[in-house]
Amino acid sequence: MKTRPTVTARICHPASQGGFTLLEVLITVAVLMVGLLAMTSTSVVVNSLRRSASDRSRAHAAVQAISQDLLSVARVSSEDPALWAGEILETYGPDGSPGNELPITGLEPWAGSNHIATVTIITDETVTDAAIGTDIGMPRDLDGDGLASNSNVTGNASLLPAIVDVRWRHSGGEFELRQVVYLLRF
Amino acid sequence: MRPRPSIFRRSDQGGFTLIEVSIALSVMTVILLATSAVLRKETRGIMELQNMGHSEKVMNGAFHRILRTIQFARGYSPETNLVSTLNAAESGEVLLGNVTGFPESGLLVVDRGQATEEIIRYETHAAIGSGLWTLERGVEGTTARGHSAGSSALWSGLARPIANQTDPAPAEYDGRTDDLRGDTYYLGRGTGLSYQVPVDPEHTGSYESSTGPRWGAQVAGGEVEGAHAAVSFIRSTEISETKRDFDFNRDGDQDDTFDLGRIAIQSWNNDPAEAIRINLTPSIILQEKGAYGSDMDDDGYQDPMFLWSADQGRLRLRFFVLAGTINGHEVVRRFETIIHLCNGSAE
Repeated sequence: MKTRPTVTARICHPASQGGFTLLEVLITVAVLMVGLLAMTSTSVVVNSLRRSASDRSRAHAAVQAISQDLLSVARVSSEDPALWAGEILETYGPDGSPGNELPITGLEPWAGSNHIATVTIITDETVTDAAIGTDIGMPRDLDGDGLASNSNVTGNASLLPAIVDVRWRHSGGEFELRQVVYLLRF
Repeated sequence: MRPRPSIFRRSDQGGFTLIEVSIALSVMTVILLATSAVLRKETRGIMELQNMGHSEKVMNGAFHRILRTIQFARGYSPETNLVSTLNAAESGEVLLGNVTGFPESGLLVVDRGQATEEIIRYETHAAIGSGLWTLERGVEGTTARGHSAGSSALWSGLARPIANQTDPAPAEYDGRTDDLRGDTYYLGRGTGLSYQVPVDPEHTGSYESSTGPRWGAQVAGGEVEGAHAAVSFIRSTEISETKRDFDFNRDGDQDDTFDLGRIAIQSWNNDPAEAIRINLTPSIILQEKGAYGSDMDDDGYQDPMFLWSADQGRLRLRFFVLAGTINGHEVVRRFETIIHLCNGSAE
């Protein structure tokens, strides 16, 4: 009577039998899969790099454009010390137009945020670099009275530090570019 | 007699049969071909990445050079009037009230927004006086017409925001563009900016004379007071969507034709031999032929390359660049920045 082959016999055949064993096939498929996955991941990396470089370039351009625009706003704002800072804040302040939160075409915001760029204009002489999270030499005199004690210089500022922060994300994670621009009253 | 070998092996024989070897070779060949195709694709992807990176580097470099060149400049808004009647057949000279700031060669828009609007190409600038010479009449889809003295005349390169930004009548503006500070209605086509920079021709170490800054430009003979310069789009060649099988401005058709050109700085003085031109980019910048400044990304807004706000000393630059290909498809990238001219406007 012919006996049914055991599982062990089907996986590893004796030397006299022809064909591939299941183990050989599995090993071959595994090696092929590893090779294919390696090539696919290269493609993913290349695409991610392309996107990453492109996004960084956009973010850099946005920071540059906003910084230059702030200088332009500072130039056309009133020369009157009582009005100058207020007019800048009417454009890039939290209640201004366009305001201090801006979308940037082509960039995706951080999770939970609906904007890419944030403009922070410092009007408090007493705030510290540690509180702002940027090394801009605060606290410092912003109204030219020789002291760094005024918590709101909007009515008499002669210098305003502005922080331009651009935050974006893509598959590689969340990224940030920050630049400080100093606005001087003419 | 020795038996003929079979392509089928008997069960007691070792080794592979011809069929097994053939199948193995076929499978190997398919795998090798697939691997080769994937590697080719990867190589192309890396080359495309390099090309895109190069385009970005070129444009960032161009922005940096423009900023470095004009950050201390004062910009011009070349707008004036005809001082005498211009006949429809005249091709020698057009006399303007003031040619200051008009580039040495370019396009002049007469009677903008009127039924008699005409665009005139001029080739040279009068050394002394107020004439633009060697005219080609009725270009850019317009018709040569007669114009009376006093007709408005402006350099077509200029694009400036109009005063009334609240629901202006269509005749008041040429386009509406999306800007960092919101929608902006503007006049003009925005192909360049005319300017002068502080100069020190005698190398005295000062840009000041007794009457104020010396304004001029760098021409072939060095820095010359009174010389002018313009940064502008220069057309190089023409490409069509049909031939490239690509919708460059994403408007849903492939019927449009585009001028491919570069950004260059031209400077000129009274002597035409002193005029120079410096290219800032290769010819990778797109503009729709016959509709410069039109919407290039189908977002519903016009896209002038140069938007000059004289009162704020603010120049917005926006370029659409043929940046390369991805997976065989052309890629048009938008590059944009703002430059603050700290000396503002000449007017």
